[in-house]
Amino acid sequence: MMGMTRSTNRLTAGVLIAFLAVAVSLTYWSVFAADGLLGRADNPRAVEFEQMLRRGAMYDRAGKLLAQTVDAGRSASGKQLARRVYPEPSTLTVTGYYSLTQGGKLVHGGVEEAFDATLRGDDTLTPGERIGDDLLHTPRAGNDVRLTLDLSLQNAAAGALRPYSGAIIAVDIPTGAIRAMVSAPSYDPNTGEGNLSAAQLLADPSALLFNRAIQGVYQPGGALETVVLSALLTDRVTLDSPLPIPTAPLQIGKFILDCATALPGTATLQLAYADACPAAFASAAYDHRDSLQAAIEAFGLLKPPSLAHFKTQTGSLPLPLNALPATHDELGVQGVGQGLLTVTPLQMVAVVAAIANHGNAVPMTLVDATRAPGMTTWQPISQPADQPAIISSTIASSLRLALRAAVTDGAAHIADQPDMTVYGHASYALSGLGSDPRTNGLSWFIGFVDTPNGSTTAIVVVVENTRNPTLAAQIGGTVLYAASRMAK
Amino acid sequence: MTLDSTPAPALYDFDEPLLSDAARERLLLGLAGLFVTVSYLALLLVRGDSPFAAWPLIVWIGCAVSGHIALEKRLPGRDPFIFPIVMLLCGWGIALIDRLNPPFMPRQALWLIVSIAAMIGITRLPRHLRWLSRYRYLWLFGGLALLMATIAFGRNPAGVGPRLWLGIGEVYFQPSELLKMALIAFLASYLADNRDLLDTHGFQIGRLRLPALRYLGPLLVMWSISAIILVWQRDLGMATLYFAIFLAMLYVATGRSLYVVGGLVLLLIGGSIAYFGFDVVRERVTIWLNPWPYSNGDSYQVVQSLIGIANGSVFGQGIGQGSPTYIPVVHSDFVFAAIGEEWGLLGTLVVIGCLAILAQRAMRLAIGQADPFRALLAAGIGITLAIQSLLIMGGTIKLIPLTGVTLPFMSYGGSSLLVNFIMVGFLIVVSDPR
Repeated sequence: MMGMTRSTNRLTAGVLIAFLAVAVSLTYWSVFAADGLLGRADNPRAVEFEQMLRRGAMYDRAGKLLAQTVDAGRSASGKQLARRVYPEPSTLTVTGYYSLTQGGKLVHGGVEEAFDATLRGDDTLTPGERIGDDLLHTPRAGNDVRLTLDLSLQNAAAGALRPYSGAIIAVDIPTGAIRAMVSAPSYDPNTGEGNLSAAQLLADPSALLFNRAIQGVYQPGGALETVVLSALLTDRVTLDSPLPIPTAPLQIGKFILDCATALPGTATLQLAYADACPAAFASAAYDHRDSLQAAIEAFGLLKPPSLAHFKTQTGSLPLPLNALPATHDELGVQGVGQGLLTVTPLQMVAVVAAIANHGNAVPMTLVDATRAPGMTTWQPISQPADQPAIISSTIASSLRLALRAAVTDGAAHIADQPDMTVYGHASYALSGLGSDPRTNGLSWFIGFVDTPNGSTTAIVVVVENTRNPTLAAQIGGTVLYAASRMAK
Repeated sequence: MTLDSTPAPALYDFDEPLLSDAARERLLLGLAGLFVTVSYLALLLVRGDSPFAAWPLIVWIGCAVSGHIALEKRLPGRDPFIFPIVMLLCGWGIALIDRLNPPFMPRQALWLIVSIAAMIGITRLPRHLRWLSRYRYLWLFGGLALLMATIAFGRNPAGVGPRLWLGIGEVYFQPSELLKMALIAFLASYLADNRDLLDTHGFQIGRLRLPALRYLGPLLVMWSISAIILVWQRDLGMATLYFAIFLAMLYVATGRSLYVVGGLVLLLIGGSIAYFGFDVVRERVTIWLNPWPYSNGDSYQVVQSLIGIANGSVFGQGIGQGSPTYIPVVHSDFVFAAIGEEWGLLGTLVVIGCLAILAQRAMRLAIGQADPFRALLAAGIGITLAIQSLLIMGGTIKLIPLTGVTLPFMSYGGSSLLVNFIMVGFLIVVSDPR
């Protein structure tokens, strides 16, 4: 029996060591490897946890609902689920898109992405409250968010742009509150398109979830003339300076750039600007290269524009103008906005907003307040108040005159509205690889209107796949008219 | 002067335990009952069920009380830890099955009643256990006959998968579980009678001393049972368990490491042949080595099990508040993962502790026995419970390849519960020195 005692003791020790190994392995998986396991894409619990979350709602400035979370039945393990609905499809690129399926979570763009922590309620819980909620499995509700958007103006802008591709931004001056932001084509989750999966949405060649207004990078073309004009005015060139052969067409590769509308035989700088004639601005880039470079930088075209809490895109100028060969051809192309410089609509609206704001930058915002779940009072979000001067008020006034002339006598005349003073500039840019002149370009309108309540609304319109500045001006005029009426 | 006739105060006897064994067992049963009751009430609260839905708790309490009374009457000198530990585990298991797969719970509760009755029945048989030792070949061939019957007539209650059950109507029974008990009884009896012969009667090859074939023969028969089960039934878990029991008991009886080493070599050879010969083995090893690329296919169960354990962290999500039902067959093979998700690391450590104590108590009983048969029987039961637990717990957490055995007393499975309680009955009988 002594022999059996020894072997039994050894076997017992071996068994207990094996149990200890199991305990150690368990500790590893439940403590040290837990984060990695829980973050896996094939973890349905993560999706379930997200679906239990009552994500905060979004409202426009007047309290109209833009996004909310509603009940969506029960999960496979019996948990109450929720889903996100967007009752106003025209706002989808502003709100962003949030969806949850067994394939994973998609939080894409807009306010959903920029304010994810707020909408989830993550940023208002103390660590103690978070631990308590996790232990007790308290259903979590996120905070509501109020946008500066005006839903009526948003719908008007979306309707004006339909059926074209492009973008519109409307900004209130001097507050910088974005009243409308449209990107087309977009996605309507409430119709048959609502059956598209997140993967399909992201892979769609039309870039349905892409926000062209703040992420789209475009050739500025004639829209750059406003910046070039600012540079010329800085160098004390006057608007009534006569120009030799202002209507001369400009050849860029195999393409010809013309004025947006016809001009008489002689003209001034103001009229050349009004009709978006490229020749004057091509030579201006050559003669005023340094001032143009300074104007491009001053207007912020080389860095992402500031939009509080959002990641924005910038166009680029890979080489400064003074690093380019000092030839008429090389610099002329830059001056007409067909060169290396690219811009986003948000950058261009910042340009026109500064002009409307008497030369001072306008800090733009899209979200101005949050509200805790169950509360009725909105808590304002602190906004940047800095409005540094970009150009002098004198130059801003001159640019105003030029923009007004472009509406009264130039290519943007269709934007003019009765009982309103509209300022604007319509132009086009060559863009794309196709040879069809009707579609290998895009059209710009930048402008603003003084509204009856004493503020101003500045807008940018860019229409893709068309070389028709009149169309852009027409859309712009419609939106400015709507802005003015809604401001009453 | 007269002597003070007042009797001297009794001195405190430090050798006398504070509690008697019966009181100790009652206290432990009470604590187990408290845990099971709180778990059940928490489950009812989470689900919003009426109090009548707690009827399995009443069944459990009835089984605990009647078991304790019956054992106290028949075996007052028994080990006071064994019965409370198994009652804790099976009560926890009932609450788990009700949480994970409520339609299976009434059947498990019924099997609990049958199992307690069987355990009590074992304790009422002659305590010398000579009837178990004497008829070892009856148990062996009876078990083999059941195995053959399963191979010929076996069914699967789910309709698909390995046919490991025999059924009469809607009642299914897994003969491999009974064969487990038969194996232990046979080995305990055979080794008790022949262990010295195994050691002394043999032949020498170099420095190796091997037993005579006539003594090793029956053991090799037992070993081939494992192979048959693996080849014919594709039941990797049971095949591994039988072989491990055989090897362990052989080592306990003889103390010869040669048998362990030789057995492991045979296991390795057999495992390698099985790896290349059987898809199920190859699949299990592949999943064990690297489950991540197949997480949406073959290794879904293991990966979800690990995720569930991670989700439980240290304190668990709480009963009814995790998501263990994402793990396929969680109420049976992966009940340990469900414990990890809803009771956390602490819960799983408690389960490991209980099973470890149970195995240790059994082995301790084995050491204290004068009769080698009773010693080997206790050791065999302890080894079986330990190895079976380690196989399924290790497979659940990817420590070893997954095998389809149940977690003793906790997983859904009537046959398993019944045979485990029969083994516990034998253990309790052995534990009473009178």
